[in-house]
Amino acid sequence: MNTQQRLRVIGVIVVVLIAALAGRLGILQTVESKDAQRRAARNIFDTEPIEPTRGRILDRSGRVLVDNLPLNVVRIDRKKLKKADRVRTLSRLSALLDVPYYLLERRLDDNAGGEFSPREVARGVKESVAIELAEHAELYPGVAVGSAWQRVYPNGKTAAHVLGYVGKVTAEELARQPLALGYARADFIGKTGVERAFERELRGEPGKELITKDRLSRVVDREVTKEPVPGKDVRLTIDLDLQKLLEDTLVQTERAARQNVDADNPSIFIKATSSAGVVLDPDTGEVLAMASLPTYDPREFVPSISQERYDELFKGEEKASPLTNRATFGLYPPGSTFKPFTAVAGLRAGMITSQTVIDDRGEFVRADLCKRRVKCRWQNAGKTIFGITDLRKSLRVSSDVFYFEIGNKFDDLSKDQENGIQQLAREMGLGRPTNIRLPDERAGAVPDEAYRKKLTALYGRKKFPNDNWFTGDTINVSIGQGEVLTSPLGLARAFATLINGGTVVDAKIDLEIRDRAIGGAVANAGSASNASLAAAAAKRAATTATPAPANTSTTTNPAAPTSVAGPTAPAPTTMTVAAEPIVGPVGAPDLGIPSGTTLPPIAAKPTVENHLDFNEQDRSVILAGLEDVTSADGGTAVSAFEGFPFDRCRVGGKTGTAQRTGKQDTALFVGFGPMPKPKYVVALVIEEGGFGRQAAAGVRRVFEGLCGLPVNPVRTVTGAGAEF
Amino acid sequence: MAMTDAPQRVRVSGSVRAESTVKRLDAVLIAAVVALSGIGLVMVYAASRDSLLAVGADPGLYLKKQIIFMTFGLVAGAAAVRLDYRNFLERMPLAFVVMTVALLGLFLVPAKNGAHGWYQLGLFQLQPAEFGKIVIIGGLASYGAAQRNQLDLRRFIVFLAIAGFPTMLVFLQPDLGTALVYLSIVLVMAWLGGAQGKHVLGLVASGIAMAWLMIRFGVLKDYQVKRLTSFIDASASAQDAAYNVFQSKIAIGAGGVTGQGLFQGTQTRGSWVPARHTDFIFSVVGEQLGFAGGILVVLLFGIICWRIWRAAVVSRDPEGMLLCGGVLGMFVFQIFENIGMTMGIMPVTGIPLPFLTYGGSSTIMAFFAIGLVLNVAASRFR
Repeated sequence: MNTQQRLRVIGVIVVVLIAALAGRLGILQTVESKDAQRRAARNIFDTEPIEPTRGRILDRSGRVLVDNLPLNVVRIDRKKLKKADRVRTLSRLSALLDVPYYLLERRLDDNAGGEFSPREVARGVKESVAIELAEHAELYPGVAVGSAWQRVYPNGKTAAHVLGYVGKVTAEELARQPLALGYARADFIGKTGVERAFERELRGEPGKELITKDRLSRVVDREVTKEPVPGKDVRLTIDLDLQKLLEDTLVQTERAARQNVDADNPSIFIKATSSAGVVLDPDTGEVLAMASLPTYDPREFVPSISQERYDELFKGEEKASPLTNRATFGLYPPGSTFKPFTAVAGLRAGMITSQTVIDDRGEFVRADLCKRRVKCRWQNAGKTIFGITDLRKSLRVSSDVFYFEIGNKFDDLSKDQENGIQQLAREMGLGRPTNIRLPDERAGAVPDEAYRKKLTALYGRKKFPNDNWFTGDTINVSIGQGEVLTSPLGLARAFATLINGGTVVDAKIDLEIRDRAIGGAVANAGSASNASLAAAAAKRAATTATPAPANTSTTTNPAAPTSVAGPTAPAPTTMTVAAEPIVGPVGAPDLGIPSGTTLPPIAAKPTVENHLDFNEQDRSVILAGLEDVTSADGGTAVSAFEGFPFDRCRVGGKTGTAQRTGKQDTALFVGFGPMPKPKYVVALVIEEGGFGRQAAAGVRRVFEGLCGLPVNPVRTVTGAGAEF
Repeated sequence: MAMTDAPQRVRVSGSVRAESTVKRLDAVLIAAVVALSGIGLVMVYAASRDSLLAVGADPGLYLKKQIIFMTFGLVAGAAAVRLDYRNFLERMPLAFVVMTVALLGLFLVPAKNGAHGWYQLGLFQLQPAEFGKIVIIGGLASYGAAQRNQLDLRRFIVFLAIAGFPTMLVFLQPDLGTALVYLSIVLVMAWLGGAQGKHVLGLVASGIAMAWLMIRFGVLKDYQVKRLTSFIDASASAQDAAYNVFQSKIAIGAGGVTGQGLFQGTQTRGSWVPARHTDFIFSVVGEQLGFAGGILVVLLFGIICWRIWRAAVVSRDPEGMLLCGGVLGMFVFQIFENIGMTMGIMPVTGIPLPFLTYGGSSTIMAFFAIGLVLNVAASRFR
């Protein structure tokens, strides 16, 4: 082979090699390009959610009940923290955060939030720490600073059951709840109360941030690809001052009740284990206050509650369960507070008129039943003999016999008519949900044969052997015993139907859903892990946070020109307020415009379920009877209302003392006022509370506040005689 | 050619002959080198500005230094064009001594990045192994030409022995890449110098067998893997080398047909690809300029190789032919190994891509080598 031939061999090799490069390049940049681009994106881009600021919860006049505190959190992504770096990184972090090493390790290894989600190891870290972490990301592999909020409660425990609390979303919630769609494992979600019921509105929409990182995980660039939509504020129907008054009243009422001894067993005191109260606007169904005892402190759930403490709250001492909202979830026999409904049913069926008179001899006997050796004798409590009794008096003195007679007449009717009382009670709202937008409402029950059959069919004969309706059952129902159950809210709503003239309204907890006032927006959009961003965010927060959120909404509702009455412009009807030190003054009787109002009131549109046409004359007799309860001689709540200025605020109501097997009697009182056009229905229930008149003493105090009267402490109501 | 011509030729190696040489220079080769060097400057800037900015340095620092290197390179190239290459070849024994001393002296200075490869001269680093390439080419051309293209086994072994010692020294720095460049120069020049095919193939086969045994050994014992790895890339573990190639492939692939755009591209800007302004500069071309830019670079290299090959073909004397052959062997191996490495078809070795990679010694050497080729190509017209 000569030189030229040898050169040609070299030439061919060169051509082949250059062609190989060109070919490989072509394949890499065409066929394999898409894949490479995807890999390149996966390399450097991280999509991080931007937590939206959760909406606030306001009272009816705009006072903040639940607010947010923006803060920095430190999270560790375990996928990005290599085993080899772990000890070194955690040691550094421990020194930087001033958190013990073992605690960081425990939080990092906590699998509660799901195996793969980043672990939050510190909360509320200083800005300087956040900047240090961002600037020296290479020293802290897998560690990131994010922004978050935590709930703050300016009024502490007030309205805890209404507000509810938030917590980290659980695996079960993620699996089960359609509401939890689009939640990441570390996200917070409303667990109870308004926080849960209005989760959708309060949460807002999370934003998205595209983070570009280099090989050392240093953040090269941040781009908000989707701005978070802050959650909306929920303005409740609750009035903060009234709420405080009601809660304080429950505490005082329980305490007062415990001064009494058990009527059946004078050697022991009344337990008054728990209580619940509701203040309702009978025309609109708005819940102006709602409270339940025992209560809890929602601040215990911030940032999260320990399992031990949670169990304690849930299980605790027997049936204390302070997390339960007894106003909506607690079911109690209404006892004598049911009597007005029996009366209306009797009037509607024509069994009685408003003039009907009976001779109450203290008991009602059915001879035919005695022959059959079943229960045939029903007595007034304490076997009190009321003598000649008409409808009005029957309510005042709470004669059982008067209602036994009505119940007995229904018992004698044919099968399809014998449940007239129950039907009426249901029509007026009892045994049905009030449709309040809270997650924990129980409807209660007004039993009849169909109801019993349903229970037996649903739960089996073992649990509910009795699926027949017997003579005498209706007699029990007539005085609110015998399986009749209602929540305090349900009872208040049923009374509202009577008070407002027959309109069954849904109970309402929300006045409106408001877009957040701009000034109140918390500057937590975007993570603060980039130093310059953090500085910008701080600046933004400083400049925008100055106008108080409340003051930004000074737009006066033209429909209510007097609505922006501030402290300087009290409503004209304000009565003299003698404020009790603990509870602030409940300003004007019209709670729509209490002093310090910052939001214009809203003419709420009640949701009407149905309407009953009452005979107005009959209704006025019933209302008169109920007014007598508090203010006329022999009224069951007269002792509780002793010295109450009825000339300034006419309050009526009905006591109830319901028997429960194995327990002390449940004390109930439903009050309404001020007559003649009541604006409030107040229901108060004390479990194992003794006589209903003790509950009446609590309701009296609430009305003192509602009517702008001097608010007195709740007294222990003693007294001989049957006051039920 | 009569012996009496020689002194005369030396005498006229002045301006008169130089002017005639300039007129006969290969314009195509010059144009390709200039175009490639221009692309190289832009890519060095594109590859280094982000990292320099990140540490607060002048983003144009490497660009400016590379311009200085290229200026030196142009001077060196011009000198190579003007010199009498036969005269140059006669100086090779001395050059060999200087090179050997320089390579040995490297082991006396502290290792940098785990290798004895550089002399630090103020701001600049001198890499003797780069200049050694020219010395090897020159030395082999000188010996090969003297043998009149007849390399029997004995001469073939002498031929290998000439290159063997410096290759060994480079290999021990350790700088496997440059040692392989030396080897490829030896192979091509031995072939063109008239070595028998079986000898050349035998050398290739034994080289492959040796490598296979080393890898085989290395795989079996962990510490040997690491030792071998350190030969391949002194600064990183084998895993990192594989990861680097993986990221480089992503970068080039992500460039697609038209590229992410100059100064764009997340892979090269975000430090995912290592040694971006040096060994992996082709990744920057691939990601930022895409197939359009990448194929242009490959084609320009193709043109350069073609013109060097042509210079060898048309050379009137064995010295010139062997010089060009050696330069061709050097460039082709560096181009194929370097670009092939960035695309994952060649193993990772740290050798520069001529005219693109940032670096003083390699740039000056490359320009000098082109100058020599231009010189040889022009000489045939004399």
